[in-house]
Amino acid sequence: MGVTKTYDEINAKIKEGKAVVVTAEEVIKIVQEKGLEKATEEIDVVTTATFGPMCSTGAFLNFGHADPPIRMSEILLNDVEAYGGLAAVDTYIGATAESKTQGALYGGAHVICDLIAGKEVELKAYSRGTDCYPRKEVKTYITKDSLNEAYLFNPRNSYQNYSAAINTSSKNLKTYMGTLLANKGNVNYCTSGALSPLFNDPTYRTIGVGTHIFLCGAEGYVAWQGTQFNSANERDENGIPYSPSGTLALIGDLKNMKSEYISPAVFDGYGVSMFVGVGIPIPILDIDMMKAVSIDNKDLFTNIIDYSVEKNDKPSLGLVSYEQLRSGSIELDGKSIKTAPITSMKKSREIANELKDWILKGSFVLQEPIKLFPQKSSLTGLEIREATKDEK
Amino acid sequence: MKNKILLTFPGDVTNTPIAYDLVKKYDLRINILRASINYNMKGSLLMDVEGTPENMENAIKYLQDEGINADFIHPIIKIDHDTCVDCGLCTSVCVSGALILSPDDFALEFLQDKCVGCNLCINVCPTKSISI
Repeated sequence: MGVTKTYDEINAKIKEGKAVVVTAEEVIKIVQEKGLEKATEEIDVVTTATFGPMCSTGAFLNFGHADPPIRMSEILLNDVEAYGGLAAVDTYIGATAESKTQGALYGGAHVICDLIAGKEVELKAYSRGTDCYPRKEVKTYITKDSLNEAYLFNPRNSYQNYSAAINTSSKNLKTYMGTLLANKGNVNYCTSGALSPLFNDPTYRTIGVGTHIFLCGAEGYVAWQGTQFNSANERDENGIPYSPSGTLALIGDLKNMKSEYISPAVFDGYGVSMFVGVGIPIPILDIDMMKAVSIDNKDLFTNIIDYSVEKNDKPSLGLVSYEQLRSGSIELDGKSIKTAPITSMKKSREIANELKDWILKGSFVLQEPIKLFPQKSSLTGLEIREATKDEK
Repeated sequence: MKNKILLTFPGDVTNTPIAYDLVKKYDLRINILRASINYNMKGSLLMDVEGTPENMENAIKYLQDEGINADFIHPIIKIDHDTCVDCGLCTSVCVSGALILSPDDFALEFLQDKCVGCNLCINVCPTKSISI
């Protein structure tokens, strides 16, 4: 079995400033040079990271009470609608909500990033008025410091693999994967490949509910499995899925986030999304864990999906490795096609290094998951149907 | 969109009816500003070209396939590196290879000489960091 380490042992080393921490890219070369066994002995933590557009992102905010108080049922932040169906002064603002006045040029993602940047945000709220909350309207300005609580809660981040996108039709398509040029004019792809969190822990041994993470420059946690968590997908001999599989629901303190690790994204013809920076440390508990984090882009594959097919289940034109995608072009049916990423590798590396620094300084310790994710969870679609008889 | 474009023809394609094709096949409005042909049958054509970005892009591809060199005389794009996140999405529509990610650190690089002024990158950029 060889060397094994516990979370307590690794955390003790972190606190003493003696832990050996490398990024998931750096570890590849170390394992090649020293071998799995030696690398397992020497390295304690491997940092993974990603910085890509993640639509299922948003923030819970609590405004505090005005005098007299209001039970807000309709809420606008810089003219972007936030949810008015919670308690009096609680709301959730989603990244993809669009401004009532500016449309897709400004959305929930911009509101969240303006708050993180310390900017003033206009709050307008309306209510029918109740005996306990008599006020019917407020118009004021808020900042992150004026809020009681402000935390990101993202129902689905950090996809474990994502399909690359192509367009076989004769007209350009504007999608959340960017503009896909007609007649297989380009291939766009996501994920940070060998640096991507769930590629490095494919069977969710260390990433589960409670895992301590880097979220947009602040500390955060894995709150739950992400929505559309699909662990039952086909996998290779290393347990790595060929198609979008595991996802993470993440939580983190908005007030401590840094603008450089989160940014609004506007996709031409699609709308608003958010670039989210995520970093997840992986403890090297044993040689199996070291084997998992030492995967390279040549070992990671994804499908090329045709976005011109207007169905949920789009056809695949075949598998391609992340090494091929990263090279800038791929061969398909004898034709060379340009490839381009949507996930920022530069930012992903910065995050992996930043998290590494936090751990080396002893300011960030690991948290063992308090609940592991299901290994065989699959998805259901939305059936369009009439009500069943006895419910009518 | 409107661009000023300078075409230079090698001798063997001087007889190709380029202006006709640009109008007929790609629905471009062209206004010839200057035309010349030398003793080696090499030609040049300076003109204003107006049309949709898509048609413009396809026309460039057509010209390149015909072996014609197309130089845009255009304002150069500006990149705001404070808001750019180096995602690389702009490189996906940059047919001329002016926008590339550095193979070393994946930082966005702009090679001004290669830019043909199609401006497709401006709308594609998700952080709206590119302008003219």
